Amino acid sequence: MDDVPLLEIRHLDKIYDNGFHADKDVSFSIPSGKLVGLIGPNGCGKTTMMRCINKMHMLTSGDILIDGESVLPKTPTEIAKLVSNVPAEMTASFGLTVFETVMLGRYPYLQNMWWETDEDETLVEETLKKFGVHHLQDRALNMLSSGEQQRVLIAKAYVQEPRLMLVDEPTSHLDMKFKLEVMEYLKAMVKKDMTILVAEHDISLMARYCDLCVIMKKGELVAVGEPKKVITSELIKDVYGVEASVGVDSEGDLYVLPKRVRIEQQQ
Amino acid sequence: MSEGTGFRDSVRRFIDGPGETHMQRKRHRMKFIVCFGTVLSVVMFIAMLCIGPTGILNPIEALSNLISAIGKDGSEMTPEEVMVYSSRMPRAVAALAVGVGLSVAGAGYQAVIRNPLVDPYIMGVSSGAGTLAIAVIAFEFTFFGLINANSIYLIAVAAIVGGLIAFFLTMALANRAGGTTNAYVLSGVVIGLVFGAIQTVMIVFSGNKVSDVLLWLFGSFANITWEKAIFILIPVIALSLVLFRYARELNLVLLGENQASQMGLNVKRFNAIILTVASILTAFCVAFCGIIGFVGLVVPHLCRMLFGGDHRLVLPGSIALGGVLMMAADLVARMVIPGNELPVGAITTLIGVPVFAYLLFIRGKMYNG
Repeated sequence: MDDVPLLEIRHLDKIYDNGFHADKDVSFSIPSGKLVGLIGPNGCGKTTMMRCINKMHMLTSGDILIDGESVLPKTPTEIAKLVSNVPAEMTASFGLTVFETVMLGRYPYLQNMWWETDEDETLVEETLKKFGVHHLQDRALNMLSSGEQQRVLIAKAYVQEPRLMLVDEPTSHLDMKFKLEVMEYLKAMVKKDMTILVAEHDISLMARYCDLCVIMKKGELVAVGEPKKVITSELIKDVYGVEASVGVDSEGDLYVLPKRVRIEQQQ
Repeated sequence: MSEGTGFRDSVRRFIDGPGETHMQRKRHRMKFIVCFGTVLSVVMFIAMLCIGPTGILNPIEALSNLISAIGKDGSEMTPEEVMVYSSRMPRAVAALAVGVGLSVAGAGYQAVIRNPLVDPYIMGVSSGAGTLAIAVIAFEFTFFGLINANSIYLIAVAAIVGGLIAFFLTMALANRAGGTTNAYVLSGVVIGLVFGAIQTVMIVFSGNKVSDVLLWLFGSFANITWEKAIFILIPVIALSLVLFRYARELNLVLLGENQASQMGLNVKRFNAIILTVASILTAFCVAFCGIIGFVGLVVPHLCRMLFGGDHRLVLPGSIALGGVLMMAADLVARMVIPGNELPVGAITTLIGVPVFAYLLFIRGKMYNG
């Protein structure tokens, strides 16, 4: 079992109907129990790839395997039990409470039941505590701060008990403190049988928290590996077209400081 | 969950029960809805049999007249038996069915379109139904001779067909415009305006039929017979059960299309099913009784405020409250001015608004954001 990667992507190609080639022959694999950062500029194919993994989009060619099994023949419910997804932002209509939102994460498991079981409720209660939102459980999701909302969305994805959790730009509209908080929660959540794939723009944050980095550019895979090994100023220059200084602080953590970019002015 | 000793808290505790956990409280709310809904509906139903402009009976008289009328199988009835069995009871059944149907349809529409302002008429059903109904009432349209001009079903069939034409036009337009929830709302508005304009033109040329036309458009339960009541009741029960079966999925779509589909739901197909079922339901509701507003908008909100946003409670709550509110409104409509029937739609609004305003005042914050 151990040598079968949790997620394996084989020659993934995705061409949209309008001809845009979002992912070009991407292949890599990730073991279980890792926090993996997915890094690349806007439009590099990160989100498309995530959507192919949980079959929100059909891939054009290639294959995606979870635990050695292709996701392509699986039903949406089977995939929902394997892969959960945390959106960057979400509003819940009609005052859905925090508890109800998180409880909806159990939906794939209660196909023939009307009410959730006591075990479901216990799991949700424990998860709410784990993410520090238990005291907010009866509040409407819309009334929470952005950071709290993000934690609720992650909690919902967590009670889905997936093998792989896809997190799309979780910190994009959060301040420094909430950013760190979200990453701490993600880090604490990774366990032996679950891997988290996070798409995120803050490379320093990724380098500090992730076990592995997957770096993409214009639909192609550039590098996969430990952050300290793959993130260099040459790589940043290549992927983003930005001059950056990449260094290590006194505690041994990698940081990326963007310095210069050439702008084009049209006559 | 709630502390304090105020009226609101005691109501809350009464509805929620002593349960410690969320699921215990929800199950208790369900029991509360079933028990209270049944009791209220039965009480209101009996009141509908007892009270009317042709005389007020006490409940025992009303029920004994009803039982003896049923025993006689409809023949050689006394005037009182006719009043209870042939006039008031079908009217009560129709009011109950329309109240339930519009409320359940409203709850379904609101969840799928994720907009609290949505009512069952948002997809153009009422305008389409009204347009063909006016064609029948004012211009003796008989579907090119297909239906007997004297048939009691003529207006109903016209309303259902018109409602569904408008609905399918709305769906077609919305799907061409991307199938987003905004596309549904805007297409419904546009199609509704087109049919509304046709109606206006027809009303101007309807001559001495104008009062019949307006009476239908305002909505009324006068002239309901047993045949008509059954014609409404059976589809309402069947279609409400279909929506009820999808209660959990209606919760799921509140999280948005992306989240719902990554949880395993085929959202496009689901939306199409719910909108179609709710529209057919609405078309049957307006078929005999005309366009009765407000109930379909407000009852689902009342239920959300009383029982929470879970559709496994909102839908049964809508069934319980929708029928009761509609029967109460019809009772007021036929009693408040002796010898004159008011349009029941105006009464639903007048009864509903204060209750709704109060709940909005104490619970309205949940609609923010």
